[in-house]
Amino acid sequence: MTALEKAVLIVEDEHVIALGLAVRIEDMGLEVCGTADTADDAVAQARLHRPAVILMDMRLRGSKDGVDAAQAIYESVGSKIIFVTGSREQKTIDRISQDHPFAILFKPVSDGALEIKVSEAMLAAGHA
Amino acid sequence: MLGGQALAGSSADVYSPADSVDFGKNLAIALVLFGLGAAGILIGQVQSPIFHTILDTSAFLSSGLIALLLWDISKRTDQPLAWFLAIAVGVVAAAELVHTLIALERLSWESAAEAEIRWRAGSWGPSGYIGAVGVGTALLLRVYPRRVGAVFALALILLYAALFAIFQAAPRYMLPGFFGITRPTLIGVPLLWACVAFGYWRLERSSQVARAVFASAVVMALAHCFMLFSQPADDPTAIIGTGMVAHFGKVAADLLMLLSLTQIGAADTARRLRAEAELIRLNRSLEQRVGERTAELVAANARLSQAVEQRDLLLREVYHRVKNNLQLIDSICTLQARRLADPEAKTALKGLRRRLYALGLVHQQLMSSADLKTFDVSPFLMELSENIIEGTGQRDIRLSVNAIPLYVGLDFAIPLGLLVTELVTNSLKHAFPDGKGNIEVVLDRKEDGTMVLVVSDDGAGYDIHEASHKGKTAGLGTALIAGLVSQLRAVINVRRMNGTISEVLFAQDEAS
Repeated sequence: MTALEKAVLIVEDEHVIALGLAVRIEDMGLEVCGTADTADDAVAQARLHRPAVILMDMRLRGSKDGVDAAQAIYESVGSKIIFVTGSREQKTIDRISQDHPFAILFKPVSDGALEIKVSEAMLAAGHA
Repeated sequence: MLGGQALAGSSADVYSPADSVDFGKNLAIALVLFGLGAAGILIGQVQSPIFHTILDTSAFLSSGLIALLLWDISKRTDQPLAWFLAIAVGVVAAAELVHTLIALERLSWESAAEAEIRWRAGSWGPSGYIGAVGVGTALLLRVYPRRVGAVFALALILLYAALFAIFQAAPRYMLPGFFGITRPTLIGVPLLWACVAFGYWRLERSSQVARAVFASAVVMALAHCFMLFSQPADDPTAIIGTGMVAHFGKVAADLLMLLSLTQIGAADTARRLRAEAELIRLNRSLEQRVGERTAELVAANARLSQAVEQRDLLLREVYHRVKNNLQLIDSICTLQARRLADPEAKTALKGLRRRLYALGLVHQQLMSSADLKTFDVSPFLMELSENIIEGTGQRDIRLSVNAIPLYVGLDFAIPLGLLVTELVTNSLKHAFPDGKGNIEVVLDRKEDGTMVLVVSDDGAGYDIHEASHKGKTAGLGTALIAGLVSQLRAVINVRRMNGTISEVLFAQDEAS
């Protein structure tokens, strides 16, 4: 498996929130390779761009959720996946935990927390 | 009442003729029997010593049986009357035995006829008196404790002995006198039995045993009347059979008593069976009602928990949407800030994002709380303060948060969160020009119950009043602090002592 790109894929069904996240990622000096609002699109873009890090929302458009997308990406691409979820319910956390998450962030995500987790994920993916 | 008094109440509503004893009918049967027997004896002129012995034996056996039955009743139902009656009838049974066995006795110089008169006729009187006196006294003793029974028995035995002696001395038969009475010494017996019948009839209407005694006493009184006219068998002028009629009457009275007591037991059994059947029926219907009620409650419970579940789901959804909308506004602020060149405008948007974060965090905490209404304030204050410090990019500022465990609701958490946001922001803005220092957030309860929030730093310090003159942002923060303090019905003290200490005091009930 070849090395992954030093880029971030944003998976989020609210476009404005996706845009906000993109700005925050770019402000950290990182590249955003794309945004997706469905699980299938997320998998397609992950295969295309091979990003080192993916910010993954739990609620997505369509019948599949973030965990479905993450599962497929984990198997085929191997990106570090940071879940960004609105729910702190144990049910959601249990479901996320099935799928090798790199980290879980709860909305509202502070700029500081976002930067720390994304940097750690980049480092773990081999990008200083 | 023989037994099962506890059941009397429950069986009252299922009254049945089978449950009670008809003492009147019993008395009528006994009187008819006595009448027929008396007529037979008088017409047939029965005067056989064997017949006499048969009747004496019958009287002994029947009274002995009655005494045992009464004793049993008194044990089972704890009726003092039955206990004292058992003693009286027991002594009578003993007297009857003496009267029966004494016919076998004969002194060496006596002829059979002389012995008959001395012993048999002589022992009739004492047993007659002892019976009426004993049964009558039992009625008077019924209010006394059972232990009086021993004294009662002893007194009856002594009375019997005394009567035996007196009757040995007194003449057995006399010439027909007043009303043709030949045995005036026995005149008291029917009179006493009549008194006994009257007493039991008047005094103890509620007791079935007493009713039985009443019926028997009537027959006894009649029977003993005949004895007053008995004469020795060898007297040619005698009306043959009066003595035997009296004996027969006594046995009839005893049989009546036995019949009554047996019927009382049978009636009681019938009543108990009826009550038990009723109890079983009631139990079944109770069980059925309990079952129905339980099913209703289970269904109601299921509906309620479903309603609660739906409410929880809705609340979570609302919190989620509020949070999402705040997130949207936050994103718009981020996007807007990028397009602005003016640093003051960028700072203002950053300040807005901090406040939005406080609101979003409150909803996040609520969503994950067990009751969806309250959450622990301590981790909330920690996350809130951390975010503010991270936002400045100043890495050398140490934060400590010490809060007592306190569960707060939305109405308190929002102003508190915003207030802490403003106070921590102020410290960060004014206290640490070199980017190093400590900030402490404390929430505590004083001894008098007052809540106190302290935000302190060890920096250069600022004056809340000075700050308000510097610019719009500072002015907004000050205005917000003033507004939030007033909303919390709180008082704020700002002191400068090795830094700035802001102390907010508010009542405990504001927090709940």
